[in-house]
Amino acid sequence: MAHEAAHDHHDDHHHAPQGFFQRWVMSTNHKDIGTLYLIFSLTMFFIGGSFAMVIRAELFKPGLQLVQPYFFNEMTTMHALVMIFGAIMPSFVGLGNWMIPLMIGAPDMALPRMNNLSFWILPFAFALLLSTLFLPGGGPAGGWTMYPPLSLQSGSLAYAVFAIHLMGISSIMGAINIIATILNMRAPGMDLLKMPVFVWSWLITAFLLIAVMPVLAGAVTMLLTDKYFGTSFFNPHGGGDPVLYQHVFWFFGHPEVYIMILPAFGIISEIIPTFARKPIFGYRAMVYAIACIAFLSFIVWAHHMFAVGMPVGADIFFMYATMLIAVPTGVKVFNWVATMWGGSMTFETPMLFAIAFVILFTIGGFSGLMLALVPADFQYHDTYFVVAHFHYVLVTGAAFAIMAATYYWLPKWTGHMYSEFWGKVHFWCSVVFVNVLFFPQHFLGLAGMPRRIPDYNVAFADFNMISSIGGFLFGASQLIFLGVIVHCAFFSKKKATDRVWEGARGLEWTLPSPPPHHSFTVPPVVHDEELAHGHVSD
Amino acid sequence: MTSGSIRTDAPRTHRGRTAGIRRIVAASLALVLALGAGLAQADPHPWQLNMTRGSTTWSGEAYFLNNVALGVCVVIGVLVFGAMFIAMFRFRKSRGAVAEKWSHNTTVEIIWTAIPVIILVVLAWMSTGGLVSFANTTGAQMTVKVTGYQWKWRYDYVDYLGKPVSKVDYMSKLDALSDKTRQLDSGMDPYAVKTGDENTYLLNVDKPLVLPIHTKIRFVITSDDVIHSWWVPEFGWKMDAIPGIVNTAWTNISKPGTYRGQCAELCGQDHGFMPIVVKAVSPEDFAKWLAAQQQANAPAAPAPAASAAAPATAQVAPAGSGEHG
Amino acid sequence: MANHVADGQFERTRRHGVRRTVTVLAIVVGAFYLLSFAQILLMK
Repeated sequence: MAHEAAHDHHDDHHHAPQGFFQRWVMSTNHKDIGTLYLIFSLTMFFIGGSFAMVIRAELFKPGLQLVQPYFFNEMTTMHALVMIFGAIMPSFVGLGNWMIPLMIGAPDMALPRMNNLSFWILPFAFALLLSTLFLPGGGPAGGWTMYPPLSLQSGSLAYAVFAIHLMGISSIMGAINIIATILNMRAPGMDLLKMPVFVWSWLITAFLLIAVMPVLAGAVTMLLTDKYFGTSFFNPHGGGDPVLYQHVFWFFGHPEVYIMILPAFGIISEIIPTFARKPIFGYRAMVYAIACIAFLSFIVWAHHMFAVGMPVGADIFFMYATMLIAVPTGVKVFNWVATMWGGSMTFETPMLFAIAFVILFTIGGFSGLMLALVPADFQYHDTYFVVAHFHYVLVTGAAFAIMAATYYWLPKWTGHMYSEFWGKVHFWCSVVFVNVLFFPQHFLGLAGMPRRIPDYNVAFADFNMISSIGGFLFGASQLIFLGVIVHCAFFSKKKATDRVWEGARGLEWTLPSPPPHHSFTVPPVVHDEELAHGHVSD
Repeated sequence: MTSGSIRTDAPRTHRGRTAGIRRIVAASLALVLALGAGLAQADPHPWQLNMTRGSTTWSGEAYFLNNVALGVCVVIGVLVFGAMFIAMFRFRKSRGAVAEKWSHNTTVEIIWTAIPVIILVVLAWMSTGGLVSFANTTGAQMTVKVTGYQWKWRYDYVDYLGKPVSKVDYMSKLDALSDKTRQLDSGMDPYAVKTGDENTYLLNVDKPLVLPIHTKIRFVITSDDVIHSWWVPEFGWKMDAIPGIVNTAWTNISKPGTYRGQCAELCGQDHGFMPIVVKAVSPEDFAKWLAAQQQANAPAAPAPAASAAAPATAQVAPAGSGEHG
Repeated sequence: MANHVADGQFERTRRHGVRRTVTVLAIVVGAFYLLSFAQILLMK
């Protein structure tokens, strides 16, 4: 993607390797590996999106028209696995790879060869996972949560489990790399509390990854031994407990949800100050809020399980703990608004996506608060209300933040400006159609439509049709995104300046656009006024 | 906001604005009434926007909490998003706004941490009450055992008014017409699957669960294979049916009627096709129905004739109604 | 952008730091994995 080959405005003589194989497959360069991650996640985004199109097409009207129910279940399961582990997580790792060394003044990631390995595991993991769709028994169809005993009925369980192990190892290696980079590779003067919020958010996320990926590995391994080696962890006929799996899974699963949103918080905290031309409001409060949310994520897992019949005391504990999350999350939203207040704002595409993030993620947060109230959750649980909730936080939350980040840093990566016009077209199409797609799903859930069903009563027909139309148009809008990226990387004539955005602050903007293949080989001298948070007293 | 435009006197804009506000209030009231009117129809109904009020002594708890939480969220949303839009309008560079330098303010930070805490405490207090009352399954006058199977439900009547009930148990599965219509490329119209004038596509069964009203009924819920979830929205709750575990829940139905629900936990390929239908009748009718069932099942031979006494919702009951326990 | 003069001492501390951090994290991850899998063996 990046053409570092022929730039004469920097005096760095370390150029990228010339051979394609050498450069991309053997790479130990954080920028190239970051690019690989981003391309991989974009590919997965379209593959997972195509599964979503199948789902929405089948749900377009009542009656089964296109696929058998079992294949429908494969689609919902694969859509979730691909989007979570293939699109959102790797894109954050890609952004972290690209930007963290540039933001803290490090020459590269701390462990460049491991970096290569953690990327190259992923294509194999997903080839394994996706290949199950072509196997005689079909792919996993028990939902991405893989609740036993249902998941034990699937013939492709072993494939899914092995793929998940690979993804977990990749994530853990990525997380170790990021922590080691942030803790040890900072340029002199880049104190922890002067780091950009994005770096902070990734540091905390990496700890979450390290803490929970082994738990997932343990849970799915128990599924594997239950199915193939005669154990009875979750098999009631052998004295096992299916609910135990859910506890273990969600002990991973809830921090996992925050793994997918904390880096997004970081991105938004970079973009809003840039385009408001005003420092982030309450820098320390923002960092503490992220840490606080990360801590709380470990003690709220059973709020995914209010319908399994837990003791009332457990229900109450998990309800209260879950509601607490609203406080630090609220602080973040208020601080973003306060950053905008009194600023001098312009509305380029990254800022538009960031503003849409704040509004739409907050709507997802509201439905999250409603879901925390146990008596109401007895009704919401496992309905389209939940589907609407987590798509508001994951699509208009995480995915919008990733798109905002792409527009924000694309000129830095490629050295060229993207088309602002087509970026805005992409934004407006996305923001309109994503609401057409997901907002009616709140109504469907409240009216009583369960999730993960391929067909429904005619009472649900109207909103489903609206949702499907929104889905098709939202999916089509993402082709614009692809077009803008390809145009910017290969065809754009408009050179990007070093700073790119008038209000941009931070070390990454002191480098040329695109940065040389090896940057900060000698640690830069950090001037506080160059940093977004150089003079932190709050 | 332009309703006052024909007036030319000074207070024009003011009156125009109040009229506009009044119209918004009236419109939202109409919307609320429309939502309320929805209660008159059976749920779910087309264009349904809100949760059902439910038809049991407890279901109002979920509904009330839903409405309160929704209201709180709407108010906070209006304030926060309002502030955002004001900021986006006032502090634009194109309007000549110059960025200020401040980047924190302890007072407002304390305020906007404290206010959500207070709101949350109120919400927590309200939902704890509903949760505790739901958890109290004591004092039940009747027990029904619900067992989930891939992909049908089995109901066992365990006891009624302190007396054990024997041999009243049966399977309840998707009705034949829905089942035929839902096949891929069946060429049949889901809109044509009707019970009376109500569309019951995928929401009807061959043999519904018959329950008395004004009776505290205790459910013991379990499963024979994978995890299912027994959910009738009119009751206000769902409870997972888990193999090896017996969950309990209760209800006390307030008015007679037919209440429809679905399995709410992914349970395999026909997860979407195992509905739940509850026929709530008066205690007298229920006693008669129960006696008829016990009598019909007492002799060893299966007695399909018993379904004649079964409630009228089982119109499409095919030969499968002989599939008793 | 001014640069530090290449400073071998700084590079050395950096490398030591990385080694220490990675060792600690590797032990933590290893322990987590072991715990997760030990329960499989113990509970079987």
